[in-house]
Amino acid sequence: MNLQGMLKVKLGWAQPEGPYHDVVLASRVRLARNLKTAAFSGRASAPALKRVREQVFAAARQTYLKDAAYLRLDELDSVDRQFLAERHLISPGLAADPGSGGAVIDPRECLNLMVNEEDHLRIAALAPGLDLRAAAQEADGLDDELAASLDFAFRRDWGYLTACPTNLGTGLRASCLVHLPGLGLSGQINKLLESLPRAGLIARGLYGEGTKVMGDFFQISNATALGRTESEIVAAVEHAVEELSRREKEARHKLAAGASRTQLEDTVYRSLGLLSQARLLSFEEACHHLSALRLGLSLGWDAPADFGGINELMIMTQPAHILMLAGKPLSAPDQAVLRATLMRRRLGRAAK
Amino acid sequence: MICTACQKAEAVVFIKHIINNQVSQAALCSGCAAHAHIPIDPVNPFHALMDMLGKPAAPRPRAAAARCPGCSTTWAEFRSTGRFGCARCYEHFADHIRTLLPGIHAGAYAHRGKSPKRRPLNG
Repeated sequence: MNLQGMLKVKLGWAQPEGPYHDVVLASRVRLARNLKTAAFSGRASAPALKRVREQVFAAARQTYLKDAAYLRLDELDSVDRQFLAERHLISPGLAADPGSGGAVIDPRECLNLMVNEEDHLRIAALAPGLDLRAAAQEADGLDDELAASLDFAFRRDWGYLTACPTNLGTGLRASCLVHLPGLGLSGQINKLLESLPRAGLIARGLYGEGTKVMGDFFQISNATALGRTESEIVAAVEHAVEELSRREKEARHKLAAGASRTQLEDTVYRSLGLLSQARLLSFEEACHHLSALRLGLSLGWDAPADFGGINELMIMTQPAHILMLAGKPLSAPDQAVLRATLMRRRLGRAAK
Repeated sequence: MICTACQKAEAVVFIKHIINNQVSQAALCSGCAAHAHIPIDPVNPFHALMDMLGKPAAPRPRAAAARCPGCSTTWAEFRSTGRFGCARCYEHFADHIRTLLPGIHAGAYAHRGKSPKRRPLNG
């Protein structure tokens, strides 16, 4: 499959739809599963892992993923793999070290399988906005279809058996990609993030585990997978993220009212000025200013883009996306030029 | 502050339990916290797991029993990586795992979620 074709795909999960989409970009539910027949991915031999991959691919072809893309990650180059990681289709770890890993990706990129990361199988479903229930339902349905032809390692007392015992039980992680600039600017973010563990939640950076926080984007997810039903976990995360979203909106409106308004306007329109005029842009800088622009947009302020456009720029200006767009290797400064050009083309001309 | 359990070592973890409006507080040293399966860093369950495995109170099976018959992973390997090698590790190390689970799953020790849909007999 030609991954470049994916550049044109309107990512289903990045559409500005769904509840609280001005705060919650996307909801994701993943299920960790392992086959009874082979040692876990960290332990099994390469031939055994290749057999696992083919078994999973064959099983997936029996489900509604029959028209999906089936990718063997060791057959792709590192830019292709990073491209998939930037689209949240595989983990950054698997992109760096593909082993006998695989990915099955549905055409709208809302439902996918990751094969031979630390577990044999990770089923993931994504939905735009705060809609973990919809994502959970999708993942659950696919899990049942796959279980018709795959024998998953399971114990009645401990549930689905996973390489790391922190995923044991449901193997479920419900996460939301949230944008919290209001809480950041008003200095409440650290206190709120510190309070998350008490609610059984974890905050991570933009690309999940062990990654950096950029542009006030965070992933919020459940900390534990055992002892609660799938729907209890999903409801708890959804409830907490809804509360967080309400606070974020309050913070945004407070910042936009009274004495701090001019300060905020200055921040937002400086960012627009920079994005629409710069000649060199790193992704981190782009992310930071797109975050400010997104904040202005959520307050109904005039901007030459809508939520969909900004979400798309967030995705398209990532490093491997820029390389894919160029279709050839680029030096770091040339990547920064192309990123800035893309940004000017989208934001500059339309700027009033 | 001194550990409220052993009254000896410096406390590193402070716990406040609110059950039926009754507040109880404790300050524990790392040894007593590990003994009570309370993670030092409750933020990340994986860190909590590694933390518990690094403590002297962590389970140490006898050498003969230490190798999983399915994948020959040793308990020492699990202690250093936090990862099991295969599904049979969960049988072989069951007793030790049982003592670890509440500490990494907020007190939970049993699965309450779904089970795999059975394979059709003719499939």
